[in-house]
Amino acid sequence: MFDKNKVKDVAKLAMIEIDEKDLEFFSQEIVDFLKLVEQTESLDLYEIEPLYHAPENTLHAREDIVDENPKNDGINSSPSHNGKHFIVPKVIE
Amino acid sequence: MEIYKKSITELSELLQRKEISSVEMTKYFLKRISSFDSKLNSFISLDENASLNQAKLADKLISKNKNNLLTGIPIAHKDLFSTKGIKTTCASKMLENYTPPYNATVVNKFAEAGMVNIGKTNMDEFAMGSSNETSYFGPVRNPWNLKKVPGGSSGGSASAVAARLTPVATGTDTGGSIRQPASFCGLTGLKPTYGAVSRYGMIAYASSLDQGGPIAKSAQDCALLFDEMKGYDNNDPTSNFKFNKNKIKLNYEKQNVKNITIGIPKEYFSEDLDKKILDVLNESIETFKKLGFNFKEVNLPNHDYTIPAYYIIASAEASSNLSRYDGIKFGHRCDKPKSLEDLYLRTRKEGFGKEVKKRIMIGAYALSSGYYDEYYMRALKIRRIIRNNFLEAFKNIDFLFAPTCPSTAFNLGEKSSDAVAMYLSDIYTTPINLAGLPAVSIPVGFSNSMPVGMQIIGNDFCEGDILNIAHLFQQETNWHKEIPKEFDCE
Repeated sequence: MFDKNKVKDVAKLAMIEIDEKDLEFFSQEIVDFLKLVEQTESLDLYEIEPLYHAPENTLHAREDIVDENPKNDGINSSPSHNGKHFIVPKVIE
Repeated sequence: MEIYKKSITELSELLQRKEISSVEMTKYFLKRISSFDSKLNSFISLDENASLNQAKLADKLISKNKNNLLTGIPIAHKDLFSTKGIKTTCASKMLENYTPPYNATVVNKFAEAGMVNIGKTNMDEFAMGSSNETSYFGPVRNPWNLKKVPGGSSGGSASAVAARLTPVATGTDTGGSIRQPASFCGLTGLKPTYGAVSRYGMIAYASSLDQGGPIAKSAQDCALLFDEMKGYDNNDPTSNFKFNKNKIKLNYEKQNVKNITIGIPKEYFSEDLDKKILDVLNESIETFKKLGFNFKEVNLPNHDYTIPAYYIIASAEASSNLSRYDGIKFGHRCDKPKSLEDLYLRTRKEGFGKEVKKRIMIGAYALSSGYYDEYYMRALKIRRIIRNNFLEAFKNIDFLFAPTCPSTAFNLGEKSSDAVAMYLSDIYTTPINLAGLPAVSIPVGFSNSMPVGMQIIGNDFCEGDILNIAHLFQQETNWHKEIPKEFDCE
Protein backbone atom coordinates (compact mmCIF):
# COMPACT_ATOMS: atom_id res chain seq x y z
CA MET A 1 0.00 0.00 0.00
CA PHE A 2 1.28 3.45 -0.86
CA ASP A 3 0.92 4.99 2.62
CA LYS A 4 2.62 8.07 4.06
CA ASN A 5 5.76 6.10 4.93
CA LYS A 6 6.02 4.84 1.37
CA VAL A 7 5.73 8.44 0.12
CA LYS A 8 8.64 9.36 2.44
CA ASP A 9 10.75 6.47 1.05
CA VAL A 10 10.06 7.31 -2.58
CA ALA A 11 10.53 11.06 -2.01
CA LYS A 12 13.99 10.29 -0.65
CA LEU A 13 14.71 8.19 -3.73
CA ALA A 14 13.56 11.13 -5.89
CA MET A 15 15.59 13.59 -3.75
CA ILE A 16 12.59 15.79 -2.97
CA GLU A 17 11.79 16.98 0.55
CA ILE A 18 8.07 16.64 1.24
CA ASP A 19 6.30 18.53 4.04
CA GLU A 20 4.49 16.36 6.61
CA LYS A 21 1.20 18.10 5.72
CA ASP A 22 1.52 17.03 2.05
CA LEU A 23 2.18 13.32 2.69
CA GLU A 24 -1.51 12.43 2.77
CA PHE A 25 -2.15 14.28 -0.52
CA PHE A 26 0.62 12.45 -2.37
CA SER A 27 -0.31 9.12 -0.82
CA GLN A 28 -3.93 9.43 -1.98
CA GLU A 29 -3.02 10.67 -5.47
CA ILE A 30 -0.54 7.85 -6.05
CA VAL A 31 -2.91 5.21 -4.65
CA ASP A 32 -5.63 6.43 -7.08
CA PHE A 33 -3.18 6.23 -9.98
CA LEU A 34 -1.95 2.75 -9.05
CA LYS A 35 -5.59 1.54 -9.01
CA LEU A 36 -5.74 2.58 -12.66
CA VAL A 37 -2.55 0.62 -13.34
CA GLU A 38 -4.02 -2.48 -11.64
CA GLN A 39 -6.48 -2.73 -14.55
CA THR A 40 -3.62 -3.89 -16.77
CA GLU A 41 -2.89 -6.93 -14.59
CA SER A 42 -5.28 -9.11 -16.59
CA LEU A 43 -3.12 -8.72 -19.73
CA ASP A 44 -0.85 -11.64 -20.58
CA LEU A 45 2.40 -9.98 -21.66
CA TYR A 46 4.71 -12.97 -21.26
CA GLU A 47 5.84 -13.25 -24.89
CA ILE A 48 5.67 -9.55 -25.76
CA GLU A 49 8.91 -7.66 -26.33
CA PRO A 50 9.12 -4.20 -24.71
CA LEU A 51 8.98 -1.20 -27.08
CA TYR A 52 11.27 1.61 -25.94
CA HIS A 53 10.33 4.07 -28.67
CA ALA A 54 8.45 4.05 -31.95
CA PRO A 55 9.13 4.00 -34.85
CA GLU A 56 12.09 1.76 -34.00
CA ASN A 57 15.09 3.23 -35.76
CA THR A 58 18.71 2.82 -34.81
CA LEU A 59 19.86 5.60 -32.57
CA HIS A 60 22.98 7.23 -33.89
CA ALA A 61 25.79 8.74 -31.88
CA ARG A 62 28.14 11.60 -32.69
CA GLU A 63 31.90 11.06 -32.76
CA ASP A 64 33.29 11.30 -29.22
CA ILE A 65 35.48 14.34 -29.81
CA VAL A 66 36.24 17.06 -27.27
CA ASP A 67 34.92 20.38 -28.55
CA GLU A 68 37.75 22.85 -27.99
CA ASN A 69 35.42 25.77 -28.49
CA PRO A 70 32.08 24.78 -26.98
CA LYS A 71 29.13 26.89 -28.04
CA ASN A 72 27.46 26.21 -24.72
CA ASP A 73 28.88 28.56 -22.10
CA GLY A 74 26.59 26.84 -19.61
CA ILE A 75 28.57 27.58 -16.46
CA ASN A 76 27.17 31.11 -16.46
CA SER A 77 23.72 29.61 -15.85
CA SER A 78 24.84 28.17 -12.51
CA PRO A 79 23.43 29.80 -9.38
CA SER A 80 26.94 29.66 -7.85
CA HIS A 81 30.21 29.45 -9.81
CA ASN A 82 33.61 31.11 -10.18
CA GLY A 83 33.73 31.10 -13.97
CA LYS A 84 35.49 27.73 -14.14
CA HIS A 85 33.90 25.64 -11.40
CA PHE A 86 30.48 25.07 -9.90
CA ILE A 87 30.44 25.96 -6.21
CA VAL A 88 28.65 23.56 -3.87
CA PRO A 89 28.52 23.15 -0.07
CA LYS A 90 31.52 21.41 1.44
CA VAL A 91 31.23 17.65 0.78
CA ILE A 92 34.23 16.36 2.80
CA GLU A 93 34.59 17.57 6.37
CA MET B 1 -6.99 45.28 -43.14
CA GLU B 2 -7.95 42.81 -40.37
CA ILE B 3 -4.43 41.40 -40.30
CA TYR B 4 -5.25 39.19 -37.31
CA LYS B 5 -7.51 37.01 -39.49
CA LYS B 6 -4.94 36.29 -42.16
CA SER B 7 -3.15 33.06 -42.99
CA ILE B 8 0.62 32.73 -43.44
CA THR B 9 0.21 32.89 -47.23
CA GLU B 10 -1.94 36.04 -47.01
CA LEU B 11 0.46 37.73 -44.55
CA SER B 12 3.39 36.83 -46.79
CA GLU B 13 1.64 38.39 -49.78
CA LEU B 14 1.12 41.63 -47.82
CA LEU B 15 4.82 41.69 -46.95
CA GLN B 16 5.84 40.87 -50.51
CA ARG B 17 3.65 43.64 -51.93
CA LYS B 18 5.13 46.03 -49.31
CA GLU B 19 1.65 46.84 -48.03
CA ILE B 20 3.05 46.30 -44.57
CA SER B 21 6.57 45.76 -43.24
CA SER B 22 7.56 43.00 -40.85
CA VAL B 23 8.30 45.66 -38.20
CA GLU B 24 4.75 47.03 -38.58
CA MET B 25 3.27 43.54 -38.50
CA THR B 26 5.28 42.66 -35.38
CA LYS B 27 4.17 45.89 -33.65
CA TYR B 28 0.57 45.10 -34.63
CA PHE B 29 0.65 41.70 -32.93
CA LEU B 30 2.61 43.03 -29.91
CA LYS B 31 -0.17 45.62 -29.51
CA ARG B 32 -2.80 42.88 -29.62
CA ILE B 33 -0.88 40.99 -26.93
CA SER B 34 -0.70 44.12 -24.77
CA SER B 35 -4.45 44.81 -25.29
CA PHE B 36 -5.81 41.29 -24.78
CA ASP B 37 -3.39 39.05 -22.93
CA SER B 38 -4.32 40.31 -19.46
CA LYS B 39 -7.54 38.31 -19.96
CA LEU B 40 -5.76 35.15 -21.10
CA ASN B 41 -2.27 34.97 -19.51
CA SER B 42 -1.06 33.15 -22.61
CA PHE B 43 2.47 34.61 -22.62
CA ILE B 44 5.22 34.22 -20.01
CA SER B 45 7.93 36.38 -21.60
CA LEU B 46 8.04 39.06 -24.24
CA ASP B 47 11.22 40.69 -25.54
CA GLU B 48 9.96 43.47 -27.78
CA ASN B 49 13.42 44.70 -28.74
CA ALA B 50 14.58 41.23 -29.78
CA SER B 51 11.35 40.73 -31.77
CA LEU B 52 11.67 44.08 -33.54
CA ASN B 53 15.35 43.42 -34.34
CA GLN B 54 14.35 40.11 -35.98
CA ALA B 55 11.62 41.97 -37.89
CA LYS B 56 14.14 44.54 -39.15
CA LEU B 57 16.34 41.72 -40.44
CA ALA B 58 13.31 40.18 -42.14
CA ASP B 59 12.49 43.48 -43.83
CA LYS B 60 16.05 43.62 -45.18
CA LEU B 61 15.69 40.10 -46.60
CA ILE B 62 12.36 41.04 -48.21
CA SER B 63 13.83 44.23 -49.74
CA LYS B 64 16.62 42.13 -51.29
CA ASN B 65 14.15 39.46 -52.48
CA LYS B 66 15.96 36.90 -50.32
CA ASN B 67 12.79 35.97 -48.47
CA ASN B 68 10.63 32.87 -48.41
CA LEU B 69 6.97 32.43 -47.51
CA LEU B 70 7.67 32.54 -43.75
CA THR B 71 10.03 35.54 -43.71
CA GLY B 72 8.82 38.42 -41.56
CA ILE B 73 5.88 36.55 -40.00
CA PRO B 74 5.59 36.43 -36.19
CA ILE B 75 5.59 33.10 -34.38
CA ALA B 76 5.25 32.40 -30.63
CA HIS B 77 7.29 29.62 -29.05
CA LYS B 78 6.11 27.41 -26.21
CA ASP B 79 8.32 28.29 -23.25
CA LEU B 80 10.16 24.97 -23.31
CA PHE B 81 11.96 25.70 -26.57
CA SER B 82 15.36 27.07 -25.58
CA THR B 83 15.91 30.60 -26.86
CA LYS B 84 19.41 32.07 -26.62
CA GLY B 85 19.39 35.19 -24.47
CA ILE B 86 15.64 34.96 -23.78
CA LYS B 87 14.27 33.40 -20.58
CA THR B 88 13.02 29.83 -20.97
CA THR B 89 11.13 28.84 -17.85
CA CYS B 90 9.14 25.70 -18.73
CA ALA B 91 6.52 27.44 -16.55
CA SER B 92 8.41 26.33 -13.45
CA LYS B 93 9.85 28.17 -10.46
CA MET B 94 12.86 25.87 -11.00
CA LEU B 95 13.71 27.74 -14.24
CA GLU B 96 12.10 31.10 -13.39
CA ASN B 97 15.34 32.98 -14.10
CA TYR B 98 17.00 30.61 -16.56
CA THR B 99 18.30 32.09 -19.81
CA PRO B 100 19.62 29.40 -22.18
CA PRO B 101 23.02 29.89 -23.85
CA TYR B 102 21.78 28.32 -27.11
CA ASN B 103 18.74 28.00 -29.36
CA ALA B 104 16.64 24.88 -29.87
CA THR B 105 16.99 23.53 -33.41
CA VAL B 106 13.34 24.39 -34.10
CA VAL B 107 13.89 27.99 -32.93
CA ASN B 108 17.00 28.24 -35.13
CA LYS B 109 15.18 26.88 -38.16
CA PHE B 110 12.37 29.43 -37.89
CA ALA B 111 14.85 32.25 -37.24
CA GLU B 112 16.88 31.22 -40.30
CA ALA B 113 13.68 31.31 -42.35
CA GLY B 114 13.27 34.92 -41.18
CA MET B 115 10.35 34.39 -38.80
CA VAL B 116 9.99 36.75 -35.84
CA ASN B 117 9.86 35.27 -32.32
CA ILE B 118 7.02 37.34 -30.81
CA GLY B 119 7.21 35.80 -27.34
CA LYS B 120 7.29 32.70 -25.16
CA THR B 121 3.97 31.10 -24.31
CA ASN B 122 2.60 29.76 -21.04
CA MET B 123 2.22 26.02 -20.50
CA ASP B 124 1.76 23.39 -17.82
CA GLU B 125 4.87 23.12 -15.64
CA PHE B 126 7.42 20.97 -17.49
CA ALA B 127 4.56 20.09 -19.90
CA MET B 128 2.91 17.97 -17.19
CA GLY B 129 -0.79 18.69 -17.41
CA SER B 130 -3.85 18.77 -19.62
CA SER B 131 -5.36 22.11 -18.59
CA ASN B 132 -2.53 24.64 -18.24
CA GLU B 133 -3.39 24.95 -14.55
CA THR B 134 -0.04 23.64 -13.26
CA SER B 135 1.94 26.64 -14.55
CA TYR B 136 3.97 28.49 -11.89
CA PHE B 137 2.92 31.67 -13.73
CA GLY B 138 -0.79 31.04 -13.29
CA PRO B 139 -3.44 29.35 -15.41
CA VAL B 140 -4.22 30.29 -19.02
CA ARG B 141 -7.81 30.98 -20.05
CA ASN B 142 -9.69 29.82 -23.11
CA PRO B 143 -10.61 32.71 -25.46
CA TRP B 144 -13.93 30.99 -26.29
CA ASN B 145 -14.99 31.18 -22.64
CA LEU B 146 -12.71 32.78 -20.06
CA LYS B 147 -14.02 30.48 -17.30
CA LYS B 148 -12.71 27.45 -19.16
CA VAL B 149 -9.25 25.95 -19.59
CA PRO B 150 -7.47 26.14 -22.97
CA GLY B 151 -6.17 22.58 -22.58
CA GLY B 152 -2.56 21.66 -22.03
CA SER B 153 0.21 21.47 -21.91
CA SER B 154 0.61 23.87 -24.89
CA GLY B 155 -2.31 25.93 -23.56
CA GLY B 156 -0.61 29.31 -23.93
CA SER B 157 0.24 28.68 -27.59
CA ALA B 158 -3.32 27.57 -28.35
CA SER B 159 -4.96 30.41 -26.42
CA ALA B 160 -2.71 33.00 -28.12
CA VAL B 161 -3.40 31.70 -31.66
CA ALA B 162 -7.16 31.33 -30.98
CA ALA B 163 -7.34 34.97 -29.79
CA ARG B 164 -5.25 35.93 -32.83
CA LEU B 165 -2.48 37.41 -30.66
CA THR B 166 0.02 35.65 -32.92
CA PRO B 167 -0.57 34.15 -36.38
CA VAL B 168 1.00 30.81 -35.40
CA ALA B 169 2.85 29.08 -32.56
CA THR B 170 4.94 26.07 -31.70
CA GLY B 171 3.86 23.42 -29.23
CA THR B 172 5.01 20.04 -28.06
CA ASP B 173 2.99 16.86 -27.75
CA THR B 174 3.94 14.13 -25.28
CA GLY B 175 0.46 12.70 -24.68
CA GLY B 176 -1.76 15.12 -26.60
CA SER B 177 -0.32 18.50 -25.62
CA ILE B 178 -0.66 19.98 -29.13
CA ARG B 179 -3.87 18.25 -30.23
CA GLN B 180 -5.94 18.61 -27.05
CA PRO B 181 -5.43 22.41 -26.66
CA ALA B 182 -5.91 22.81 -30.43
CA SER B 183 -9.23 20.98 -30.05
CA PHE B 184 -10.31 23.01 -26.99
CA CYS B 185 -9.49 26.30 -28.76
CA GLY B 186 -10.84 25.57 -32.27
CA LEU B 187 -7.43 25.27 -33.95
CA THR B 188 -5.43 22.92 -36.13
CA GLY B 189 -2.51 21.20 -34.38
CA LEU B 190 -0.09 18.64 -35.76
CA LYS B 191 1.75 16.02 -33.71
CA PRO B 192 4.40 14.68 -36.11
CA THR B 193 5.85 11.15 -36.27
CA TYR B 194 8.34 10.61 -33.43
CA GLY B 195 11.76 11.58 -34.79
CA ALA B 196 10.45 13.91 -37.52
CA VAL B 197 11.22 17.12 -35.61
CA SER B 198 14.45 17.59 -33.65
CA ARG B 199 14.10 17.63 -29.88
CA TYR B 200 17.46 19.42 -29.44
CA GLY B 201 16.89 22.36 -27.10
CA MET B 202 13.37 21.25 -26.19
CA ILE B 203 13.36 20.90 -22.39
CA ALA B 204 12.74 17.20 -21.89
CA TYR B 205 9.73 15.70 -20.12
CA ALA B 206 9.46 12.16 -21.54
CA SER B 207 12.11 11.75 -24.21
CA SER B 208 10.62 8.74 -26.03
CA LEU B 209 7.29 10.55 -26.44
CA ASP B 210 8.03 14.31 -26.71
CA GLN B 211 7.60 15.72 -30.19
CA GLY B 212 7.43 19.35 -31.35
CA GLY B 213 4.87 20.56 -33.86
CA PRO B 214 2.83 23.52 -35.07
CA ILE B 215 -0.40 25.04 -33.71
CA ALA B 216 -2.14 27.21 -36.29
CA LYS B 217 -5.47 28.29 -37.70
CA SER B 218 -5.43 25.87 -40.62
CA ALA B 219 -3.88 22.72 -42.04
CA GLN B 220 -2.29 24.87 -44.73
CA ASP B 221 -0.42 26.95 -42.13
CA CYS B 222 0.55 23.77 -40.25
CA ALA B 223 2.01 22.30 -43.45
CA LEU B 224 4.14 25.40 -44.08
CA LEU B 225 5.45 25.37 -40.50
CA PHE B 226 6.02 21.63 -40.42
CA ASP B 227 8.05 21.79 -43.65
CA GLU B 228 10.40 24.18 -41.86
CA MET B 229 10.54 22.25 -38.57
CA LYS B 230 11.10 18.72 -39.85
CA GLY B 231 14.35 17.03 -40.79
CA TYR B 232 17.30 15.09 -39.49
CA ASP B 233 19.40 16.79 -36.81
CA ASN B 234 22.82 15.54 -35.79
CA ASN B 235 22.24 17.00 -32.32
CA ASP B 236 19.27 14.70 -31.65
CA PRO B 237 20.16 10.98 -31.64
CA THR B 238 16.47 10.05 -32.00
CA SER B 239 16.07 12.23 -35.09
CA ASN B 240 14.99 10.02 -37.99
CA PHE B 241 16.99 9.68 -41.23
CA LYS B 242 14.07 8.17 -43.10
CA PHE B 243 12.01 11.30 -43.12
CA ASN B 244 10.86 12.62 -46.48
CA LYS B 245 12.70 15.86 -47.16
CA ASN B 246 10.32 17.05 -49.89
CA LYS B 247 7.98 19.94 -49.21
CA ILE B 248 4.37 18.96 -48.62
CA LYS B 249 2.09 19.57 -51.59
CA LEU B 250 -1.53 20.17 -50.63
CA ASN B 251 -2.86 18.75 -53.87
CA TYR B 252 -5.57 16.25 -52.90
CA GLU B 253 -8.68 16.82 -54.94
CA LYS B 254 -12.19 15.49 -54.51
CA GLN B 255 -11.92 13.14 -57.46
CA ASN B 256 -8.66 11.53 -56.36
CA VAL B 257 -9.71 10.46 -52.82
CA LYS B 258 -12.05 7.66 -53.96
CA ASN B 259 -9.34 5.08 -53.30
CA ILE B 260 -8.73 6.29 -49.75
CA THR B 261 -10.34 4.34 -46.92
CA ILE B 262 -10.66 5.87 -43.48
CA GLY B 263 -10.93 3.60 -40.45
CA ILE B 264 -13.40 4.40 -37.68
CA PRO B 265 -12.25 2.66 -34.49
CA LYS B 266 -15.27 1.22 -32.66
CA GLU B 267 -13.60 1.77 -29.30
CA TYR B 268 -13.21 5.52 -29.95
CA PHE B 269 -16.73 6.20 -31.22
CA SER B 270 -18.46 4.26 -28.45
CA GLU B 271 -21.33 5.20 -26.16
CA ASP B 272 -18.80 6.45 -23.61
CA LEU B 273 -18.28 9.52 -25.77
CA ASP B 274 -20.39 12.61 -25.05
CA LYS B 275 -23.49 12.37 -27.27
CA LYS B 276 -23.24 15.95 -28.55
CA ILE B 277 -19.58 15.47 -29.48
CA LEU B 278 -20.43 12.22 -31.23
CA ASP B 279 -23.12 14.04 -33.26
CA VAL B 280 -20.64 16.75 -34.32
CA LEU B 281 -18.06 14.13 -35.33
CA ASN B 282 -20.61 12.11 -37.30
CA GLU B 283 -21.73 15.24 -39.12
CA SER B 284 -18.13 15.97 -40.16
CA ILE B 285 -17.73 12.36 -41.32
CA GLU B 286 -20.73 12.94 -43.62
CA THR B 287 -18.83 15.88 -45.17
CA PHE B 288 -15.83 13.60 -45.74
CA LYS B 289 -18.12 11.00 -47.35
CA LYS B 290 -19.46 13.67 -49.73
CA LEU B 291 -15.86 14.50 -50.63
CA GLY B 292 -15.49 10.89 -51.80
CA PHE B 293 -13.65 9.17 -48.93
CA ASN B 294 -14.57 5.57 -48.07
CA PHE B 295 -15.14 4.50 -44.48
CA LYS B 296 -14.73 1.22 -42.68
CA GLU B 297 -15.18 0.25 -39.04
CA VAL B 298 -12.04 -1.11 -37.40
CA ASN B 299 -11.00 -2.40 -33.99
CA LEU B 300 -8.27 -0.97 -31.80
CA PRO B 301 -8.39 -3.39 -28.89
CA ASN B 302 -6.45 -2.76 -25.67
CA HIS B 303 -7.40 0.92 -25.84
CA ASP B 304 -8.28 0.89 -22.12
CA TYR B 305 -4.70 0.07 -21.15
CA THR B 306 -3.23 3.14 -22.80
CA ILE B 307 -3.55 5.67 -19.96
CA PRO B 308 -1.82 3.53 -17.28
CA ALA B 309 0.97 2.55 -19.70
CA TYR B 310 1.42 6.14 -20.87
CA TYR B 311 1.62 7.63 -17.37
CA ILE B 312 4.07 4.97 -16.16
CA ILE B 313 6.41 5.48 -19.13
CA ALA B 314 6.13 9.29 -19.10
CA SER B 315 6.66 9.49 -15.33
CA ALA B 316 9.62 7.08 -15.44
CA GLU B 317 11.31 9.16 -18.13
CA ALA B 318 10.44 12.38 -16.29
CA SER B 319 12.03 11.13 -13.06
CA SER B 320 15.24 10.50 -15.00
CA ASN B 321 15.14 13.70 -17.10
CA LEU B 322 14.32 15.98 -14.17
CA SER B 323 17.13 14.62 -12.03
CA ARG B 324 19.29 17.28 -13.74
CA TYR B 325 17.57 19.97 -11.63
CA ASP B 326 19.90 19.68 -8.67
CA GLY B 327 20.47 23.36 -7.88
CA ILE B 328 24.08 23.21 -9.07
CA LYS B 329 24.40 23.62 -12.82
CA PHE B 330 21.40 25.85 -13.56
CA GLY B 331 18.01 26.81 -12.26
CA HIS B 332 16.78 27.47 -8.73
CA ARG B 333 18.95 26.83 -5.65
CA CYS B 334 17.68 26.91 -2.07
CA ASP B 335 19.12 29.41 0.41
CA LYS B 336 22.01 28.47 2.70
CA PRO B 337 22.20 24.70 2.13
CA LYS B 338 23.70 22.88 5.11
CA SER B 339 25.03 19.99 3.04
CA LEU B 340 24.95 18.69 -0.53
CA GLU B 341 21.99 16.45 0.29
CA ASP B 342 20.15 19.35 1.92
CA LEU B 343 20.82 21.39 -1.24
CA TYR B 344 19.26 18.73 -3.46
CA LEU B 345 16.26 18.04 -1.23
CA ARG B 346 15.25 21.65 -0.56
CA THR B 347 16.05 22.94 -4.06
CA ARG B 348 13.73 20.34 -5.58
CA LYS B 349 11.08 20.87 -2.90
CA GLU B 350 11.00 24.62 -3.58
CA GLY B 351 11.50 24.49 -7.35
CA PHE B 352 8.89 21.94 -8.44
CA GLY B 353 5.10 22.16 -8.21
CA LYS B 354 2.92 19.35 -6.85
CA GLU B 355 2.07 17.66 -10.17
CA VAL B 356 5.74 17.53 -11.16
CA LYS B 357 6.76 16.15 -7.75
CA LYS B 358 4.07 13.48 -8.00
CA ARG B 359 5.13 12.32 -11.46
CA ILE B 360 8.80 12.24 -10.46
CA MET B 361 7.87 10.08 -7.47
CA ILE B 362 5.67 7.75 -9.55
CA GLY B 363 8.55 7.42 -12.02
CA ALA B 364 11.16 6.80 -9.34
CA TYR B 365 8.89 4.14 -7.84
CA ALA B 366 8.20 2.46 -11.21
CA LEU B 367 11.93 2.28 -11.93
CA SER B 368 13.00 1.15 -8.46
CA SER B 369 14.36 -2.28 -7.66
CA GLY B 370 11.54 -4.77 -7.16
CA TYR B 371 8.96 -2.72 -9.08
CA TYR B 372 10.76 -2.22 -12.42
CA ASP B 373 9.33 -5.35 -14.06
CA GLU B 374 5.90 -4.94 -12.52
CA TYR B 375 5.40 -1.36 -13.71
CA TYR B 376 7.94 -0.03 -16.22
CA MET B 377 8.61 -3.21 -18.20
CA ARG B 378 4.88 -4.06 -18.35
CA ALA B 379 4.13 -0.55 -19.62
CA LEU B 380 6.74 -0.92 -22.40
CA LYS B 381 5.15 -4.23 -23.43
CA ILE B 382 1.70 -2.64 -23.53
CA ARG B 383 3.19 0.05 -25.74
CA ARG B 384 4.26 -2.71 -28.20
CA ILE B 385 0.71 -4.10 -28.23
CA ILE B 386 -0.81 -0.64 -28.80
CA ARG B 387 1.52 0.07 -31.75
CA ASN B 388 0.89 -3.39 -33.21
CA ASN B 389 -2.87 -2.77 -33.01
CA PHE B 390 -2.45 0.40 -35.08
CA LEU B 391 -0.16 -1.28 -37.63
CA GLU B 392 -2.64 -4.15 -37.94
CA ALA B 393 -5.47 -1.65 -38.59
CA PHE B 394 -3.40 0.12 -41.27
CA LYS B 395 -3.25 -3.16 -43.26
CA ASN B 396 -6.94 -2.70 -44.13
CA ILE B 397 -7.40 1.06 -44.13
CA ASP B 398 -5.27 4.10 -45.02
CA PHE B 399 -5.97 6.54 -42.19
CA LEU B 400 -7.92 6.65 -38.96
CA PHE B 401 -10.34 9.19 -37.55
CA ALA B 402 -10.77 9.66 -33.81
CA PRO B 403 -12.20 12.19 -31.39
CA THR B 404 -9.43 14.40 -29.98
CA CYS B 405 -11.00 14.66 -26.52
CA PRO B 406 -13.90 13.03 -24.68
CA SER B 407 -15.30 16.50 -23.84
CA THR B 408 -15.02 20.12 -24.86
CA ALA B 409 -12.95 22.47 -22.68
CA PHE B 410 -13.86 22.06 -19.00
CA ASN B 411 -14.09 24.75 -16.33
CA LEU B 412 -10.99 26.03 -14.54
CA GLY B 413 -10.63 24.04 -11.32
CA GLU B 414 -13.16 21.39 -12.42
CA LYS B 415 -10.66 18.54 -12.64
CA SER B 416 -7.72 19.88 -10.66
CA SER B 417 -8.71 17.92 -7.54
CA ASP B 418 -9.29 14.67 -9.46
CA ALA B 419 -6.01 13.67 -11.10
CA VAL B 420 -7.35 10.43 -12.59
CA ALA B 421 -10.23 12.29 -14.30
CA MET B 422 -7.66 14.75 -15.68
CA TYR B 423 -5.49 11.87 -16.97
CA LEU B 424 -8.51 10.23 -18.64
CA SER B 425 -9.09 13.42 -20.67
CA ASP B 426 -6.05 12.28 -22.70
CA ILE B 427 -7.59 8.91 -23.55
CA TYR B 428 -7.82 9.51 -27.33
CA THR B 429 -4.47 11.26 -27.75
CA THR B 430 -1.98 9.19 -25.70
CA PRO B 431 -2.25 6.00 -27.83
CA ILE B 432 -0.86 7.91 -30.82
CA ASN B 433 2.18 9.04 -28.80
CA LEU B 434 2.80 5.50 -27.54
CA ALA B 435 2.64 4.26 -31.13
CA GLY B 436 4.85 7.14 -32.38
CA LEU B 437 2.39 7.99 -35.17
CA PRO B 438 1.50 11.36 -36.71
CA ALA B 439 -1.93 12.91 -36.09
CA VAL B 440 -3.56 16.25 -36.75
CA SER B 441 -6.48 17.66 -34.78
CA ILE B 442 -8.87 19.86 -36.76
CA PRO B 443 -11.93 21.85 -35.64
CA VAL B 444 -15.13 20.17 -36.87
CA GLY B 445 -17.91 22.05 -35.08
CA PHE B 446 -19.19 23.24 -31.71
CA SER B 447 -20.93 21.71 -28.71
CA ASN B 448 -22.44 24.10 -26.15
CA SER B 449 -20.64 26.99 -27.88
CA MET B 450 -17.21 25.35 -27.39
CA PRO B 451 -15.07 23.96 -30.23
CA VAL B 452 -14.89 20.21 -30.96
CA GLY B 453 -11.78 18.66 -32.51
CA MET B 454 -11.25 15.49 -34.52
CA GLN B 455 -8.00 13.65 -35.13
CA ILE B 456 -6.79 12.33 -38.47
CA ILE B 457 -4.17 9.69 -37.75
CA GLY B 458 -1.68 8.34 -40.28
CA ASN B 459 0.99 5.67 -40.46
CA ASP B 460 4.65 6.65 -39.84
CA PHE B 461 5.77 9.69 -41.85
CA CYS B 462 2.34 10.33 -43.43
CA GLU B 463 2.12 13.96 -42.28
CA GLY B 464 1.66 15.15 -45.88
CA ASP B 465 -1.36 12.90 -46.37
CA ILE B 466 -3.15 13.72 -43.12
CA LEU B 467 -2.60 17.44 -43.70
CA ASN B 468 -3.99 17.03 -47.25
CA ILE B 469 -7.12 15.35 -45.86
CA ALA B 470 -7.50 18.14 -43.27
CA HIS B 471 -6.97 20.80 -45.95
CA LEU B 472 -9.59 19.28 -48.23
CA PHE B 473 -12.11 19.41 -45.35
CA GLN B 474 -11.15 23.01 -44.56
CA GLN B 475 -11.80 24.03 -48.17
CA GLU B 476 -15.35 22.73 -47.77
CA THR B 477 -16.06 24.06 -44.26
CA ASN B 478 -15.44 27.23 -42.25
CA TRP B 479 -15.00 25.86 -38.71
CA HIS B 480 -11.30 26.79 -38.77
CA LYS B 481 -12.19 30.41 -39.57
CA GLU B 482 -14.36 30.91 -36.47
CA ILE B 483 -12.94 33.48 -34.04
CA PRO B 484 -14.00 34.01 -30.41
CA LYS B 485 -16.20 37.15 -30.43
CA GLU B 486 -14.34 39.00 -27.71
CA PHE B 487 -11.14 38.86 -29.77
CA ASP B 488 -12.64 39.33 -33.24
CA CYS B 489 -11.76 43.02 -33.46
CA GLU B 490 -8.76 45.22 -34.27
